[in-house]
Amino acid sequence: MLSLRLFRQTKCSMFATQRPISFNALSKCVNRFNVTSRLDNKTLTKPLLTAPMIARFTGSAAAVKTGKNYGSFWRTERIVSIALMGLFPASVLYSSQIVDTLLAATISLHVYWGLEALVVDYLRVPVVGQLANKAGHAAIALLAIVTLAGFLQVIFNGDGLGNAIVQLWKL
Amino acid sequence: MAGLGIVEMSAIRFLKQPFTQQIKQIHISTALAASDAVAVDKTPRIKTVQVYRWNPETPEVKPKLQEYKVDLSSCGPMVLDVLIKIKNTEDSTLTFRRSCREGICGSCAMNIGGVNTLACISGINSDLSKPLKIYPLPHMYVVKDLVPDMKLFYKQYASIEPWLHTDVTPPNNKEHLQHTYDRQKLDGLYECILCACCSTSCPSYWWNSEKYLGPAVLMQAYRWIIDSRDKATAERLDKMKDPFSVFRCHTIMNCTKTCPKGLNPGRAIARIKSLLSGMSNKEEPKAIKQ
Repeated sequence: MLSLRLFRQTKCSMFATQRPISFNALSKCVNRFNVTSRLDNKTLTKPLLTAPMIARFTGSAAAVKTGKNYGSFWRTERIVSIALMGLFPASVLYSSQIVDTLLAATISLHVYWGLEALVVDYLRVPVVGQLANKAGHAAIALLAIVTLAGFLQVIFNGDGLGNAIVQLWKL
Repeated sequence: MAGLGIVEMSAIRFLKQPFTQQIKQIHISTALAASDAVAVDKTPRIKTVQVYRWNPETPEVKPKLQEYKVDLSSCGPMVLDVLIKIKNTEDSTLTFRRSCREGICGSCAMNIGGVNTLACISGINSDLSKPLKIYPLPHMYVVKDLVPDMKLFYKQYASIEPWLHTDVTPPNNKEHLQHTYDRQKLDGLYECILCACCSTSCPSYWWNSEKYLGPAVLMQAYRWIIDSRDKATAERLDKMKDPFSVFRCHTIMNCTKTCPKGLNPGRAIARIKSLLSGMSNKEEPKAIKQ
């Protein structure tokens, strides 16, 4: 019991010292290391590549702490995906402006969340930089808005989303 | 018994033994007979083995695939046997981890023919025209040759505090008892040997290993979350409610497909997600009748 408590206490102090270090600070420290250990004018390590590597040894394994519970957001995502399965046939069978608007909103949200996951996974800040990451997020937000605007155009100025699907099917 | 011959003596001894012992003896005798038959066929069957090599002492040399020719007729049936044979007879610099050679320690986890698995329990493909390709676990920092750096993996495992958290004094002052119904929930979870095959096959873990815990660690987290004796369920869940620790799992299911022990980390992660989102709750422990 005592040893367990001791272990937990030392672990706590360990975690207190292992605050997550930002990648900026890391690359700076790598640069300093490069300056001090320069070998025939070639940098020993590239900051961009080594930043995640160093984070492995120095950073805390515990993930970034946020106060919010992501679980409720995840549940919303699931509900939207399941709703999509019902809304597609519903919009074809009972095409009305309300059903079509619901379908348009859920498709846009679904597409936005799907592409957002891609940006988070493949445009990571330590790899492509802050700017490209931000640009990716902006681009998919713009795409989602344009998609939604297009759908609403079809619904309110055209002959409805359900009918559009039927037209597409006839082709 | 003095009047009996040697055959009768051994027959009596055989009949006196318990049934399991008899079966064992029959097995041994058939194995001995079979080994005589196999020993005849010694024609060399040369298999090409390509192994990933990288030496930290010569960092200017790029990692490469080194080719070896191994005679399968004078080699054990498993990939680990090939590696040990190469190390013993051809190239003693070849570096890899191994220990138990029976799939229970998880040391020899590596990427064999494109699949993360344990070298000791995966047989060699007897098709001699195809080379056997062996790489270290994907997307891990390599220490040397087939040895990956497991620091982060172990650190993440420690971060879920994989031990019993309780402030309850057990009624008999000795052990925390558990109903068999509650114990059954741990089946398929406690068998994990932490070989990291699943975590290193997961694209989400490749891209976000600093923040996402990975299937192996999450399955162990779930093992402690649903343990009926553990009282820190809320705290455990609270630690992983952020968007990355659990929710970076995209249900790709590479983890379940590759697990050399046939476990299902994907399902465990899904259950953590449903606990976190309030769609299910941990059951109350069942009362134990003494």
